[in-house]
Amino acid sequence: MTRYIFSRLLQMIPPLIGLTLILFVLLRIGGDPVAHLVRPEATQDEIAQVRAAYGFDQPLYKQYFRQLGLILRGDFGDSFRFRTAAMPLVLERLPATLELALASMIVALIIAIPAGILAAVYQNTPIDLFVTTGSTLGRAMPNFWIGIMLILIFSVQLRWLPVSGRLEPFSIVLPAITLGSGIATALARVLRSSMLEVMRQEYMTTAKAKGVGKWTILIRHGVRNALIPFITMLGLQVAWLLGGSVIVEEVFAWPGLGRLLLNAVLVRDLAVVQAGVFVFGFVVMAANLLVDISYAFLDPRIRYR
Amino acid sequence: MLERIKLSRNFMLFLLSMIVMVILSACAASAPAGDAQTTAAGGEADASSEIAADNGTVVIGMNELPTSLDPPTDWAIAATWIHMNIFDCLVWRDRETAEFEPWLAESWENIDDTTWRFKLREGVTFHNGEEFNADAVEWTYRRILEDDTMITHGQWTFIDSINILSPYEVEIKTVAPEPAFLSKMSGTGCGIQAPQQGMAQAESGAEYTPIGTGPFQFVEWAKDDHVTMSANESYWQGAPEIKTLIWRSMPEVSTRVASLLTGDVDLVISVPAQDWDRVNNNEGTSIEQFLTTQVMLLALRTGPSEKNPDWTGVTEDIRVRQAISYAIDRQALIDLIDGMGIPVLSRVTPPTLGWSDEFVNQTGDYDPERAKELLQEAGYNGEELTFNSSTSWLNQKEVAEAITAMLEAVGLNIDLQVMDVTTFREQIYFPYKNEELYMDSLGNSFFDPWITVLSERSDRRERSGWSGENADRVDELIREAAVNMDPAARAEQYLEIQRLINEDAPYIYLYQMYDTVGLSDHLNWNPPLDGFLWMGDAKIE
Repeated sequence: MTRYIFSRLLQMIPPLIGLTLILFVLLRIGGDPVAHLVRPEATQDEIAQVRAAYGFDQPLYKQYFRQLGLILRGDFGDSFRFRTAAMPLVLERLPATLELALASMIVALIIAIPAGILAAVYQNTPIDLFVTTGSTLGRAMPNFWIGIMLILIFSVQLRWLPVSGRLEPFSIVLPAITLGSGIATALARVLRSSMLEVMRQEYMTTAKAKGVGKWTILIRHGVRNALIPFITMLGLQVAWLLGGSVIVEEVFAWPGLGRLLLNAVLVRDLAVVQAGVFVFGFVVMAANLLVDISYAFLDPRIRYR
Repeated sequence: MLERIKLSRNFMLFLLSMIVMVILSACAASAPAGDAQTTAAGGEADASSEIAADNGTVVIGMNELPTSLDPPTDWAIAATWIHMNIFDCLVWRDRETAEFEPWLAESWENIDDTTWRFKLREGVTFHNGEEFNADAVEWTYRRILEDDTMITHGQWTFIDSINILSPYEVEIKTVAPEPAFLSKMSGTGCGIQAPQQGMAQAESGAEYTPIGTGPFQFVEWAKDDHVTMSANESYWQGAPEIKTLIWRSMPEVSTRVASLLTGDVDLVISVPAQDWDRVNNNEGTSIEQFLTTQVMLLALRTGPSEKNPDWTGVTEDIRVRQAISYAIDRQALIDLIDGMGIPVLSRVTPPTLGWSDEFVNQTGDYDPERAKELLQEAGYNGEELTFNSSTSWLNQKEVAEAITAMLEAVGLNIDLQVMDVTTFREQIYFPYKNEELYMDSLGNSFFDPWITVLSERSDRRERSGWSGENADRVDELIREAAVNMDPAARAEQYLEIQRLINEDAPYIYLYQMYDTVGLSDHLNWNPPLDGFLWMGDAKIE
């Protein structure tokens, strides 16, 4: 197992390097950071001076390899927006995003597990219809719209919860529901269909014949076996969650990595974008590794060497 | 049976490890954000208790926050506002009349065309206890002049030398006669910094901490999230009533408005018209409107320029440009932005020197028939005009579409290209790739006319390519006015420049924009002339 984990960690390196190249191309071929560094009245000379001061006058490939060299040594360079090292800036913001992601995941599980099981058990009943329609609707509604609606209802009308920020403990509730509800819809659908499949298995009938109670069978034999596709989906949702955090953090003024990244992209602050996406990429790959490892615990027939 | 127990144990182990992971990350996540923030004067601030305790605390909802707290290194509006609450300058603008008033300088004297002498205020101390004196002034400005990577460096190069005459007397010599001297001395980056602290910081390479003499002292900064300040109890104008001032970044406008309605914040900037009723009808909140210096304009290319040498287009013909001017109904555009503007024919707005009723609050001549005649005279034959606009200002896309419709109504063939502000800056504005028309808004926080016409000095015409007799005269006037120490004569020069620009129409000015703030009733503060959020005199009720 240790060897497996180690080799999987090593396998993460090439995609992460690929990521730096893609980002560099997207940001630098697509735009000019100097346009965001000078005043509207700037002359050509002033623009050229700024370009040289930040090294943007070098050929692109030289800029990239110089940067890649630094990244391999763990230095992501300086944010030209904040005039400070990019990676510490990113790591400073990571806890807020992880906190939000975790809370959203909890919200998603609280909604998705009962909804998925109930929809499967009561297939083709109004409960099932409610869950499947609800999940389609939930997936179709944009995050920012859900967020603004929640603010209007729970903060402005009912005054139960703070509107935004991360200054009070309950500040996390609305952003977590906004982000979590989107994932819950996907998870509930997967759980429903895998439960339906499991419920058709012969061992379920055997258990029933042995006289085991309905809910005991469902929980002990049903859910357990339906969990593999569910966990796979859960792993995939981590990427969705981090992506969604960009918008949700913007709406709720949540001081996370998503907002930092968005602002960095808008002004082509390459070092911050590289560091931020690198961290996001690592988190997503690590989450998927955890998912793969969890299979071994869920299904004893799976072994890693 | 044995197998099942073993399995369950594995399963329990998995669950347990997941739970540990969750708890660990929750612990990491709930570590106070202050860990990673710069904390200075007040040590670590417990932000939640600050919000809860309304007593003396004011929270401001901004659309963005500065990227640096060091005044000469960030000139965005948000940065200027935050800097001016921490730092004082030598001279300052009266917030109502825009007249210069003594600030850290008690008085000043214009010895000759290039020499200015400041008498400094005595007994003022910095937030860290350092004494304010001539050394601080000299250090602050020399620092900007010596570091050309500072974004405002170019703005300060009018200073030739700074001489300390006595501990409370400084003489500043300018490179050339500088009629906008006081205006520039109160411009971006003017805040006087504590020299001992600054030098120690530069030497140790430590992170920058803002130490000024202003009404508020810095407490903490979470980048892109909030800046916290506390009252400077020994402020030379008297301690401010606001005891804790928190600036929060809330980029989403509906979140800002909702926060004002619920009382989470006391002041929010830029409330869109559709939310005014909601804010005014809500108990304890209201909207205040003020005129900004931002003027929306159409810029026309009149000829090729160095970066665009092969350009040709119909706007080379003055009659086509004048036709465009006649075709625009400014009042209709203002209606489109919910009345948030007044019609203007210039970028020089009151009380800036050289402003005139001739150009302010004037709709100009809206005459589509005359426009059609001019186009016919010019022999216009349906050639396409490229019209670039971004979407950064209030309803800018709708305004651009309305202008397109107005121009097409007189027979012009317009290719409207609306893009986000990032693309506009990168692909049109800064590479000087503008073609026949573009629309943009420009402001003037200096309240001096020099910057409003600077782009038409002969060496800066990359976007207009303007030439000819009037263009030459404007160049001459811009250069003369830049060194003319007689305000009355200088005002006349700017009036003539404005007339010539309107005649030749390399620019067509549209409207000067209003902005709004949403205010909580318990904060007694009126938006000043420039809308800048200086909170030193705000009262709490």
